[in-house]
Amino acid sequence: MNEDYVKKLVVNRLRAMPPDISFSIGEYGSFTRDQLILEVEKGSRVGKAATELELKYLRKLPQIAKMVE
Amino acid sequence: MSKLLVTRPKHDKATEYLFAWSIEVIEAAKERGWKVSDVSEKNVNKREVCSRLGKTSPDLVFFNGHGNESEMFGHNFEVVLDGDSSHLLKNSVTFARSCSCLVALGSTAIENGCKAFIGYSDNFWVPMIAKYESTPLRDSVAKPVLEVSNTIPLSLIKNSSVSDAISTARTRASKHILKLVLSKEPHNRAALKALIQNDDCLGFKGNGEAKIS
Repeated sequence: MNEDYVKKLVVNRLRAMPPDISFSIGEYGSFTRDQLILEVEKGSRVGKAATELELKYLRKLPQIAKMVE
Repeated sequence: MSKLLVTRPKHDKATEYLFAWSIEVIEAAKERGWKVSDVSEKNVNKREVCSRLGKTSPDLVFFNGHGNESEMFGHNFEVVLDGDSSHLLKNSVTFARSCSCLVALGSTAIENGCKAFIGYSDNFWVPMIAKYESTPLRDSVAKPVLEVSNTIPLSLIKNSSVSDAISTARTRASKHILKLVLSKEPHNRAALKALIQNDDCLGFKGNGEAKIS
């Protein structure tokens, strides 16, 4: 997957959450959904952390699906 | 009598949530007759924390707040414990509810005599809904995430081993994940992501069979 595709994927998945959601991400501080989207688009360290988490979630989905079965 | 030392800074949104959600652990310890040393808000500074660790030699240390791979922070990001002071965790079981401390601080603490150091090897995520920021205990997306992490000290207080406490937390996380993945409530996606992240980087160093007896 190229970087632009991954960014688009993560941004779209973040947009699927309501705008009143925020996350505290350790030392980085707290970020609203829209702030996190900006960070992903900028490719900042926080944006990369959010991207890694989204990919981690997608990779875990088959495992979760097995648990549901 | 078993002794608990808990640190609860309260200087930003994240620490306000951890502050509030730690009350359950403090109450459980008191109910079981533990002596609780609650270091909170501005008192979570290096001098106070190190002094209380040295004087009380707690069986269980429960750090809340921000951290990095080698440091635990207190009020306004003051370093309250690092490799140089990690000998103060000697003979304790320690749980750091913070980012990344397991990586280096956990190792140094074990080298310096800590029985077991439980923590996270990456960022600890806390999801929040804006309208509950001043009432963290009512926040439905933070609830499963912080309940799961509370399972660890609550299990230790009930005399579980370190390995069993972690296993109980993982089982609880899996139950929440299974429930949330089927939920149609869009806020729950935030809780789901945080649960997966935190479960993925939860671990321990030291003796997994350690218990507080």
